[in-house]
Amino acid sequence: MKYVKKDASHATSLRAIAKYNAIKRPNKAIFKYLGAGKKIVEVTFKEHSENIENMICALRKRGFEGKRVAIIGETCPEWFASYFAVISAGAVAIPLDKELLYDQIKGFLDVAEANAIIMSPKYSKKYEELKAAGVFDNLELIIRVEDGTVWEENDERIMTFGEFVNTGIGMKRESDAAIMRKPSRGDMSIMLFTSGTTGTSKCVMLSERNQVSCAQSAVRATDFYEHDVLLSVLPIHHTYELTINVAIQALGATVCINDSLKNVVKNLKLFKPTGIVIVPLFATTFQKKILEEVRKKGKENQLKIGMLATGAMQKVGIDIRRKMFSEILSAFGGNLEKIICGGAAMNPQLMKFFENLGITLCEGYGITECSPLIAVNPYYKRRVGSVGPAADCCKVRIDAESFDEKGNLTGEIQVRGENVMLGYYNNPEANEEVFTADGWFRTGDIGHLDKDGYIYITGRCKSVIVLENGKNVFPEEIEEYLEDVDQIAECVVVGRKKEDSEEVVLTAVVYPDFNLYEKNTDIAVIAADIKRRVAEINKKLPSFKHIRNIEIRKTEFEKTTTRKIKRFLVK
Amino acid sequence: MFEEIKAMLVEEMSIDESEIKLDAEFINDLGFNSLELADLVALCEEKYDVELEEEKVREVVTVGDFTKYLETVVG
Repeated sequence: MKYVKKDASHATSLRAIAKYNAIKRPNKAIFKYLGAGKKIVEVTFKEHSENIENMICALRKRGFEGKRVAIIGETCPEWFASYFAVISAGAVAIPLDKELLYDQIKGFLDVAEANAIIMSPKYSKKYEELKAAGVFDNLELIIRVEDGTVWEENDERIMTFGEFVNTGIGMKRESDAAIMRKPSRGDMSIMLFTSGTTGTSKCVMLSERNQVSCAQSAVRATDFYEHDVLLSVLPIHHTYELTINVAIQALGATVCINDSLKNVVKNLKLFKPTGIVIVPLFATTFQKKILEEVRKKGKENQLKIGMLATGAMQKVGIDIRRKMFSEILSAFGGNLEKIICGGAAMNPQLMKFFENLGITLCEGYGITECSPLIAVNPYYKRRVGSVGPAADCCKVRIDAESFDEKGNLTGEIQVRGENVMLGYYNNPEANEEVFTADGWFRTGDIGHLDKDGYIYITGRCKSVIVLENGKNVFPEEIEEYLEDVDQIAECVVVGRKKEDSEEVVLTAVVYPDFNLYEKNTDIAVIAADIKRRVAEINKKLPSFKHIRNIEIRKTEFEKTTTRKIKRFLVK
Repeated sequence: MFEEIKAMLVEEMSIDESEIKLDAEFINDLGFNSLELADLVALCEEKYDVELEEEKVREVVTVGDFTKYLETVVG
């Protein structure tokens, strides 16, 4: 595949992206989604930009410059309009995970000193529970995206999205030229919480410039174009999905919104996207499904031979992969040509598998603190097992410690560039830890570079566990819960990889308080008791944080002089 | 209902019949991931013409949990 130079110079800010497209392609759909009666609803670039402009005016009218606005819920056009408008109005956006527990939301809103919240249609249905948990106590404005239901609630802070946007209609705006000339903001515009509770979570401060530089880089590094159609399947509060969406919008392409995980396959067939941005869990599941379907039809040999034949023909310049495998590709809508995969480690053979079918899979690498893009395997020059060279918004270096067995200089991957966060909010200790004396960001990932600067990740030096679905689990948070169980004297939570797969199983290694069991109690009985108690703890946690496996140890963990468990010794 | 779910798991998701018991855990025992569980939900919704709540499904650990929940929805 050849490199195509793409211009992203119009994407100077989020507002400029929306405005540029509203002028260039006003009637084209920026979003498509399933509305009432499962009918496809379209929002045009012009409508989207108008919503943003009116909302900016409405926010300014209410004096929201410098204030903080949380946005929570499923992906919807109003989520994006709110996000773009809040940042463009000089306020700070706080995207929150809709799966957080209510007391966590309350904690995060308090830490971030939020002034307002915007809730999606589905999330608004939780209003009563959120109110009871005190989520709205310190807020001056509550905006709910309407879904046609009438609310009896008598709280003058509540407005529907439509009502709020309408308060900005008719107000004086900057000229289009002024909007498009204005650079992105360099001050804090986005606050993002890393996974966990308020006790263990850090709040990442990003500027609009961080994100826009990243999105511009993604435009240049990926093979997405104006004609492309993306199916958005990942949670939108995550910078990975968010920044890619900003890049897709900068290109003037269309984003189709997947309404539920259970409908991914249905929606692939319905929206027929050309591209999808996923985490490895999706890629492995897609592969499994394809192989399963092939096996059911007894066509395993046909697939094998077909892949060999198309591979050989490609070498002489004939590409019939998409014709040959059209039946398989039709399960993905028939038009799917490119997959971006990131968020967690991916099995390198997946790239080859999809390549053989005629789908280009590019692996990327990022971290929320880098907005998040650090590297992406370029579609025109991919290398298996690498996440590609540094994106052009940053530089990468290896803080080398040693040579690996192949002679590669291996050490921590460190980043510097326009994508690197401003720092953690109100957390000088963490900031000191995460930045080197000469200003480089420590990713906590271990790896090496090849002679052309391609990055190969080989491990992690931080305790965070990255699941195959891209979610981060901070073991210390779960350990806090587990330590409340009397029968658990000590524990360490680790991620165990399943054999022959990248799937990670959250495992609690437990040293029980043997004094609480009768002498000579069988270890299996103790294990069963601990398992039952952990099942109760799991009920308090979102499902991705559930402990799936328990290992009992008979000896205490080795500790440092300050009595902290040496967690890196836990294998 | 259990027998119907069992048949679905065997036919549609190629799970070994002998592994499907009421106390079998989807993730630990049947090797499911969250997307595969979502697939099972989609299959059931289509078969029984019902809508299952994501939050309730998130609480499901075993085949028995799922059976019980589906029974309450299907009636």
